[in-house]
Amino acid sequence: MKILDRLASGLSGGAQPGAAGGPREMTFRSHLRRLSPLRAASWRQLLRINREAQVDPWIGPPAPPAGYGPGDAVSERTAFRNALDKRVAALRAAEVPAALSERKQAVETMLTLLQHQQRQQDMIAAHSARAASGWK
Amino acid sequence: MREFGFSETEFYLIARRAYELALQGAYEPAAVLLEGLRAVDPSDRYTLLTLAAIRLKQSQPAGAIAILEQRLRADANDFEARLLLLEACMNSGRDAEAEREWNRIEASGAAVPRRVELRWRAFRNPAQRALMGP
Repeated sequence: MKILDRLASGLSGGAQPGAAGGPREMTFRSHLRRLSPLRAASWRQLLRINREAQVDPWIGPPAPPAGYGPGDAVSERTAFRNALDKRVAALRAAEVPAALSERKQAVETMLTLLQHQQRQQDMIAAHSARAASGWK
Repeated sequence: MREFGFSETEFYLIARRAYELALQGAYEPAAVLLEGLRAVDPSDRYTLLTLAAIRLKQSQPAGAIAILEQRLRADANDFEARLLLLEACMNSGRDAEAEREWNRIEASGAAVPRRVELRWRAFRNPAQRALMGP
C-alpha cells in the first residue's frame, strides 16, 4: 500500500513525505548549510587557480600594508569587490592632465581585466551554487 | 607618488593578485596588473622588480632591462635590481653590459646567490654557454 501511495504521489507530482532532503523539500536554512563551503571559497578556488606550481626566485609575495590583516575568503572577496567598484567609478569620473593620460590608460586596462575576472568569478560561483543546491 | 587615489590596501590587493597569477604561470595577466600598478606608482620597488622578473619569464629581456634601469636610476644601490639586471643582460646576450653589472655586483661586496654566480660562470664559458637556456 505504501508503495502504491508513493508511486501515485510521484506520478501526480506531489510531495513525497518520506523523501526529505530533495531539493524541493529543503528549507532555506538547509540550503544555506549546503552552500556554506562554497560561500567560503576564495577567488582562487572559484577560478581554479589555487595550484601554486610556478616558483621563481625573483617573484615573491608583496608586503602587506601596516595594519592589514587577512580576513576569511568571503571578507577578502568582498573587500576586493568594493575596492574595484570604487576605483572604476573614481577613474571614470577623474579628469587627468594630458601628461597622465598614458598612465590612466594602463590603469583602465588593469581595472578592465580585474572586472573581467570578477565577472568570471561571479559566474562560476553562481553556477556552482545552482549545482550544489540542486536548483535548475 | 601614487596617482588615481589608490589606497595602500587596494594597491596591495592588486599586487597580491598579480603575484598569485604569476605563481600559476599566468604571466600576461599578471603583467597587465603590474603595468597598471606601475602607472599608479612608477616608483614602487615591488612592482618594478616583479614586473621585470615576469618580463624575463616571458622572454622579453629588453622590457626587463628598461624597467630595471628605471629602478636603478632611483636607487643605484638596489642590489636585487642589479642582480636581476645581470640576468636580463645575460638573457639578451648583452655581454659588455653583463660584464659591467657583474663587476659592480662584485665591487659591492654583497653575497651573490649561488645560482646567479654559477649562471655567470657558465655565461663566461663558451662551451657551457651553448648549453645554457635563457
